[in-house]
Amino acid sequence: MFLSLLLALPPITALVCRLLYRKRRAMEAVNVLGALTTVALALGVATDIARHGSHEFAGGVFYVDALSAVMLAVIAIVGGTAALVSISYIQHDLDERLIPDGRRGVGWYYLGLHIFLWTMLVTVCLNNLGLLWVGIEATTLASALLVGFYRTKAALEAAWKYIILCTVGITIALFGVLLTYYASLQAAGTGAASLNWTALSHGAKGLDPTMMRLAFVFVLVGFGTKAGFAPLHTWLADAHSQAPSPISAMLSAVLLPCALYGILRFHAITLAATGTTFSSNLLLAFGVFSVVLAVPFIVVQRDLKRLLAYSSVEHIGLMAVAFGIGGPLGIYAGILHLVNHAVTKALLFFAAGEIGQRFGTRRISAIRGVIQASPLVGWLLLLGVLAITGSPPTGIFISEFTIAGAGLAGDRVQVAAGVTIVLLLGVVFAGMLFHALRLVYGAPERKAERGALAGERKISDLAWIAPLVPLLLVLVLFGIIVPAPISRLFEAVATTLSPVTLNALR
Amino acid sequence: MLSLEHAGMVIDVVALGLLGLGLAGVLVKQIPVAIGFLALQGLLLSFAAGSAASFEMDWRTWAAFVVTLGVKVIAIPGLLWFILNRVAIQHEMETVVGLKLAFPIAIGLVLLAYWISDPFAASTLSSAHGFDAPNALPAALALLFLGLFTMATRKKALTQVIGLVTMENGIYLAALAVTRGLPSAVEFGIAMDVLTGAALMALVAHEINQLFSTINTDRLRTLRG
Repeated sequence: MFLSLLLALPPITALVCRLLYRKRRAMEAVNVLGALTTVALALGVATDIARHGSHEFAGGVFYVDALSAVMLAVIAIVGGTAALVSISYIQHDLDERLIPDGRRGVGWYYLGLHIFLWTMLVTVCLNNLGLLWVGIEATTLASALLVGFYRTKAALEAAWKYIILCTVGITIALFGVLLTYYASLQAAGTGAASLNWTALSHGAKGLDPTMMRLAFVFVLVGFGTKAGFAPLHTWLADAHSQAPSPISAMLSAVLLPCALYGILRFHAITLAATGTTFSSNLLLAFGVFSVVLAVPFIVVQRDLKRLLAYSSVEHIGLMAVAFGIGGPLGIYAGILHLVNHAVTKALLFFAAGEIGQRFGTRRISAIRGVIQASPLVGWLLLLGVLAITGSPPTGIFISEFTIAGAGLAGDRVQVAAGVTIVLLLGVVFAGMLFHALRLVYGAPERKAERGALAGERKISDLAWIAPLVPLLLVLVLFGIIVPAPISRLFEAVATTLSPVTLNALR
Repeated sequence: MLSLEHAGMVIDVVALGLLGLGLAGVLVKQIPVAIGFLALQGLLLSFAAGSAASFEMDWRTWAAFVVTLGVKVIAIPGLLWFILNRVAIQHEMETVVGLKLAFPIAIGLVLLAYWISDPFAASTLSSAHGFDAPNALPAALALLFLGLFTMATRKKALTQVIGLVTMENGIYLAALAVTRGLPSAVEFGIAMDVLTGAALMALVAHEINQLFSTINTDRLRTLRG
């Protein structure tokens, strides 16, 4: 019941916001109400799944298990917070005349945001893997216009690369979906053939291994483009830096994991069908390569949001490594890292957005003395960077530690991956901290007007940071302990994706 | 009501036709002609979908045929034509690779497609679940490769969209031939995605033209590093 409300609400919020573009306060109120209700409903569904196990809805069209539940919660929380932060962010852009259509453009923005949120929520609840494909492409389409929102030359270039590269990738993945369907036909015959996760996961052992290997390669390359795996990530830094910052937060924190979600569903089936480490090692390879490729771009980066974007490439690589290592520990580490990264990266993008607006630039060399200009934002950025690079006592430290541990406990390939990761993480730490310290400390330049820096902001710092507090709490809490019910949910994810369960006789 | 063999034969002929169109698309110099070829691709695919529907005689496959016709023959080429006329550019295509080199590469890609499909034709991908159309899978892969090649070597944004739709046509043909199409709900979803995607790409291309006064994608060089 919660689920139907959850999936029905965002489009309504979207439409109403767009229609109300002339009445600012009403539009903002609808936005806030819609966002908060969406979060509450998503948490309701997640709690329900945590208590009662996986569940089918609407005659098997929707299927929510532990993995879907975690994704729903993360998507809703990050998206909801982004919607709240958007209010002051977009208002500032409107005042600065950065929005092409003025107030109507703001209406389109809120429409876009909630539709984007909706496509992600729907995608992780679908049972049919073919419809999952449709959903993932839909998320690309829903976010493309948001990437190009400001309609500057750079924004349009980013939007073009984004929509073209991701659609090409997803088209390649469709071939993999087709091959999976063929394998299902071979195994079950026309009547019972299915692309439903429920059917495929039960019958995975009977699927032709060769066919599934081929299918997985196409799916991995295809969805991997969307997830930001190197070397298919060339669209990512542009798209995530040109979009409005609340949208960038959603893109980095939850959209990339949505694509990874698609890969994981196919990975679990391939694992059960082949009984080898073929798919795991491919995931590992892409993961390590992504971390490796991201490092130099982080170290010599000049743009604050591109820095965060390449950091996302690095972290999605880490998630791929965790899931590639697999097993109960690897999957637990992976899903924990997914949640931690989502929370931390969102906070960082919100802070970066605020800094960008106050200083009027995203160039790191042009920004100085954030802590003096606004202590709250400065501290948030500093803590965020410390967190994202894995300093204790944050969630990311725990998840990166667990990933490394899982790697070192595995076979030779996994140990090699683990060691490489640990070394590279050190370099990333140094690079990002270097950039962050330059930004945060020092005195604001004499050229910059006192007025702009001191913040002629329409809201106080405290009002700005209020929506971010839940994210901050999760960030710190997960660095100390993951509460038992949540921990059990993460363990349930490992069970859902494990071939042992998938191969069990029913 | 078409028999299995006849449906297979139609699809086979369609596949060869699509192969020809794909190669012709590499040689084309004028964008309006390229859009026309894309519409022709859609028409041939509709024939294939129609013969599959005549075999299955299921309302769902007939609905898929109608949707294919509508989207691939009318909607997408129409959209591209509309944008082409709104955009102040010359109708010639610009290419990174000269035509003298492009054609041999295209032939090479077709041969590659046949070579890759060879092991599958005999053993695994038999006609048990699809149609007996031995040229279908190679043609589908060829369209995939040729579409990618077009996207990589053409500069104008609209032509890249044509390359993308060509790729998707390839997958559609593969689905028809190998599994008699995907489940209907999935097919509808894919059609909607393709249409919306083409529309959005056309919109972004239009915006790019407004700002850059060109739709040469090699002018999109502002973002680096």
